[in-house]
Amino acid sequence: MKRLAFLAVFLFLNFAALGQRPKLNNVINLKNNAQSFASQLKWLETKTGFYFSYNPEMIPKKNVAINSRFTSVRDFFDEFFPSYGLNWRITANDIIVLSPSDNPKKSNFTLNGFVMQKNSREKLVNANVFYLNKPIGTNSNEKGYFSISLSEDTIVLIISHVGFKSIIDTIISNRNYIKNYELELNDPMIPSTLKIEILNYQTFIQGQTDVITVYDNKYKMLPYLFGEPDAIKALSFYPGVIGGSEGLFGLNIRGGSNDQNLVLFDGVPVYNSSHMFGIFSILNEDIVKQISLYKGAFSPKYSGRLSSVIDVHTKEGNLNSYKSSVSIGLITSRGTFEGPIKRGKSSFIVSARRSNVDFLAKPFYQLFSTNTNVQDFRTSYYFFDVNARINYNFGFKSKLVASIYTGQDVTSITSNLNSVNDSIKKKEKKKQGTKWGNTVGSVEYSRKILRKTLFVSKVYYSRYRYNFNEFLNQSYVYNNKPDLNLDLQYEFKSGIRDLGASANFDTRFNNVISFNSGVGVVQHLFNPGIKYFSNKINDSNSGFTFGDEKSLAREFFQFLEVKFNFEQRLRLNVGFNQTLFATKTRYYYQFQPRIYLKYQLAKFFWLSGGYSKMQQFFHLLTNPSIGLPSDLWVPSTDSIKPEIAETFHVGCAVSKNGFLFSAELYQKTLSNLLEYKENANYLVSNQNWEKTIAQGSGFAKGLELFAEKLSGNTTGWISYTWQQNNRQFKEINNGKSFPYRYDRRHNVSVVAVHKYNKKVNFSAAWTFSTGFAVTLPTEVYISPTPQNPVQEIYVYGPRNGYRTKANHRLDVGVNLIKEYTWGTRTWSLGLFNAYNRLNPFYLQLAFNNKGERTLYQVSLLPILPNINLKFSFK
Amino acid sequence: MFVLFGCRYELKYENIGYFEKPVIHAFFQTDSGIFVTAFKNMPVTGPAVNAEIGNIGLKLYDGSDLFLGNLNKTSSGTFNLPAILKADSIYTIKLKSDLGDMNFKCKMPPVTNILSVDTFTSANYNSSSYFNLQFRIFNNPARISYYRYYVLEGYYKYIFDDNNLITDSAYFEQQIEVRGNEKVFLANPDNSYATNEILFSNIGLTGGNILLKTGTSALIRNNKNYRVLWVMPVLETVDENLYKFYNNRNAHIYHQNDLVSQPGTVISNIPNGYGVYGSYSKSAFRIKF
Repeated sequence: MKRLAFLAVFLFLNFAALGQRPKLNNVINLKNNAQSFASQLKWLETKTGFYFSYNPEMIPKKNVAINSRFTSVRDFFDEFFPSYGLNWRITANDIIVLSPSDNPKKSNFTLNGFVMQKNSREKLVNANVFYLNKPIGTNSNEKGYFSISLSEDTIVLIISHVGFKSIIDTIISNRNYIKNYELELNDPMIPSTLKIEILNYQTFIQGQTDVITVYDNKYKMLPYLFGEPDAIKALSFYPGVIGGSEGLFGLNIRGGSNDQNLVLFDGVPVYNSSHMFGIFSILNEDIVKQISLYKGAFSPKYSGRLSSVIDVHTKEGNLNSYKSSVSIGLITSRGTFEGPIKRGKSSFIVSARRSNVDFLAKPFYQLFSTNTNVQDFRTSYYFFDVNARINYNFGFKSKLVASIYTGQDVTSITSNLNSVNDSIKKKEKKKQGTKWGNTVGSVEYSRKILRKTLFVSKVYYSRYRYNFNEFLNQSYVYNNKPDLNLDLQYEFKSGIRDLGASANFDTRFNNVISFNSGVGVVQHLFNPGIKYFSNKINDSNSGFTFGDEKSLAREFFQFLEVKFNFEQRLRLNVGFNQTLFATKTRYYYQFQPRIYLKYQLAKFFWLSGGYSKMQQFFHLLTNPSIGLPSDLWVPSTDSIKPEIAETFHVGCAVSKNGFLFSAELYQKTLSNLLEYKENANYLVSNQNWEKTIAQGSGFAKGLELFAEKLSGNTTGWISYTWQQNNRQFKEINNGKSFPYRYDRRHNVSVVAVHKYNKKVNFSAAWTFSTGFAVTLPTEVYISPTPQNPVQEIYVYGPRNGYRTKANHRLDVGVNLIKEYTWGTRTWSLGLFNAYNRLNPFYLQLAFNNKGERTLYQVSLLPILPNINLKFSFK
Repeated sequence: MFVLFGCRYELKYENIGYFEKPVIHAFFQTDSGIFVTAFKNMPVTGPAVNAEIGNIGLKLYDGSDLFLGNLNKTSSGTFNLPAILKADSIYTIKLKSDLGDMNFKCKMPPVTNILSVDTFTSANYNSSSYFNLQFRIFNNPARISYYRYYVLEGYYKYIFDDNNLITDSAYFEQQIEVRGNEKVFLANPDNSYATNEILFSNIGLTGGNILLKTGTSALIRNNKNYRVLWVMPVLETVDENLYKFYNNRNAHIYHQNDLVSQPGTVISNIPNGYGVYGSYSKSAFRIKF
């Protein structure tokens, strides 16, 4: 809390400072043609209201031009005067005194600014800024900010980003520059030699074989289940990422489980990243700008999960004009509205999505329901999510962002039963409801401090809640008189809530060294499950609550990362993250070193390798087959140690003629993993959750191959993953090592997108995976019980000792786009599982027509067409 | 939605790992006799196989290895011997069969009497009844005891013809749902997996006469079609083998029937086989209607 208070005071002081110097903080546009320095100072006096005091001998003798947009007076002075070898200070009576700076060095000149999308001024993450024909460059951070040292007199720079037209800019290296670049959306139909070269270069600069970045203009073109573009689902087409049954229920990355993925929504952790039992992710396509998956050499700024970081960046809203879109599909509908609050200075974006399943299914319920006075049975399911974000730019240097996401899945089953038996009338009402979802909110303030540092502070709130409720009422009428009335109620609640604050400093010292450091604190409130049971017989009421109490834990973290870049030939990122996790009675401290090395062996051919140690202080207790929302988040405790993973990886890649080829080997050891013990289930058990689980270890290794075509009308990639993934628990499988459920040995994805013209594009994706591992009984015997004298008991074989059949399917899609004066209309048509492969969803034992017990495979998703209509308004 | 899309087909499944093993359930009851079932296990898929154990013979011996008699095979394939087994005495069954020889040795627990059903509040309704049962037992904290508690119901079921005349009736006995929130009940987590019995131990209970509260959550039918004759709380004092087995089997059956659970294997004290042998004593308190 002290740190929170510190941040609050820090923010307050910043604003207070702004208030003391209103003139210096005025935002102005300054543009004046080249003229003498003295003339420019006089012109500035009229524009800013400040008077200048200086020695005419010390000011430059040459003509200078001024061009600065949306900049505060203070920021302008900070940049303008030092670049001509002058310092400035302000006197009590608002006079600016200029004096020679001590020792201006040419080699210290830098260019910094933001890279953004043209028109909307949306900041672009991972944009490249690099010297033409020189292995020197950098890329923008998650705020779109970049800084590059100018080491020559005249420098030709290329500013590029995947999916955007590159800009070539010539810089005279005689001063510091602040410059923003606005990139236009690309037309990939016109490939050129230069484009290919730029592509090779940017692939090389960004290229990190253990990081996958997917941009909104890329993943939206792929085919999806029910035609719902999904950035997280798109990741499953890449190497090292293993999907669940039929591609549903989460991502298992490099031997990890679904809960070992840190999903960051604009830097805020989200605990449940899916809707509809894992069929869709919580990411609304209208709001997602970019998603990056880190699966190996984690930056020290990330911690808290073992296997991956899925970093989602959302759109900021158009700074210049209002835009909206409406989309109607089979499964979901959504609407988005964005635009400036104050043109060029602040913007907003609001987007909402809701599933249509309950509306569409209603006629079917009515059709199939017996719907008489005897029985009435109804089920309902829907989900929704809402995203909203506001950005406010305080001039060039600082910015305030507030964002919120909330989403929920809701199911309900109701039934009414009326029966008459002689003189007794019985009425029974049953209602079962489940709700689960996240709410995430954050306020972030970023400010460029010193000359090369971007400071970002943030406070956030993240909550996941699950609630199950069951109610039963039975009432009897005997001889037309009210008789017994019985109410039974069962309720189960669980969840997790985080309150966090952090401060980061990103310093681009020069083209060789940069630093990234930060501190933070998070308060976690766990509710591992409160169960409430009550019964009421006529007027006699009784009830009791049992389950585990809520528990608080605090997490303090600090990280430092130093990046070295020796003319792009050798890149070295070293750093650490240290975290202290404090429960009520115990502290856990973890030091997590990280290192990443990239060495250019030949032009655009590089070797890389890295090591990461990651820890996870809270764990998801999940049932072993499908991930239902009733999964419980529980913290490390006195007896439950934090999970730890150590990952080594080496790889190589080459970027040539618009193609990227890469190969990578990894090895991961996992310790203190959690799993339910055999014959244990916390949801129905009255004991403490710690007694229902076992702790053990895991080991995974794999080979990942990837080839991508990046340019031309037809783009796409082929990925292959070979992996082995085992677990070992003392209390499970007699202590013997066994394959993890998602130990899928061979995994292949082939993805192709073809742009026929500006109006039509096609896409196809074929995926193959070895079957998943399941545990099946091998024997059966009779064990008589008082209720069942022929009760059958299964004897199970080795844990996960049986493999289901392989999964494979082809998805195809086409987008038909038409431009109108008012905007764009897009029809999206597709086929999921085009050749109707019946993939295993789960296996079950049942009796066949001959009366023999037989193993059956249950498949969920046959061939499924989809259609979606979207209107985007200018 | 899943129901609409779901479809299933048969898979070939080799029963790798299946070997013939004995499945024995042998129960020694204090002041009563012995009841044994002896069969073989079966492969989980495929046609039914003969589960009979070949050339089986069972003999009862006392603690000094004195032969007391042969267990007789009944028409239902079970074995029994109506001997008087004394509390705190040791008895052994020696089994010989094609699947090997084995011995089952048990010490008989004394009977823990239900001293009284001190109060039972019967919420009587014309259509049904609902019971809160409170029973009293004497607890000796110096001796660790394990208990299995359940409630039986005996009733007649009548069948009517079109003229509303009784044409037939049959007598049934069955266990009914029972639950309780006593600390000793909650201390056993596996009680969550069974609705018809409560397993508990006397660990943590004070000495002397103690009162334990339970209730039947099922409705007892008492109307034109059903005529309840009696309700009977039963308390079995079981040995540790049976206590562990019942708990483990309840949890297993619960998870075996649950699509998303991972059951383990039911524990067994039968050498190289499945099932259980153990001893128990029984006390009951009949409430007549």
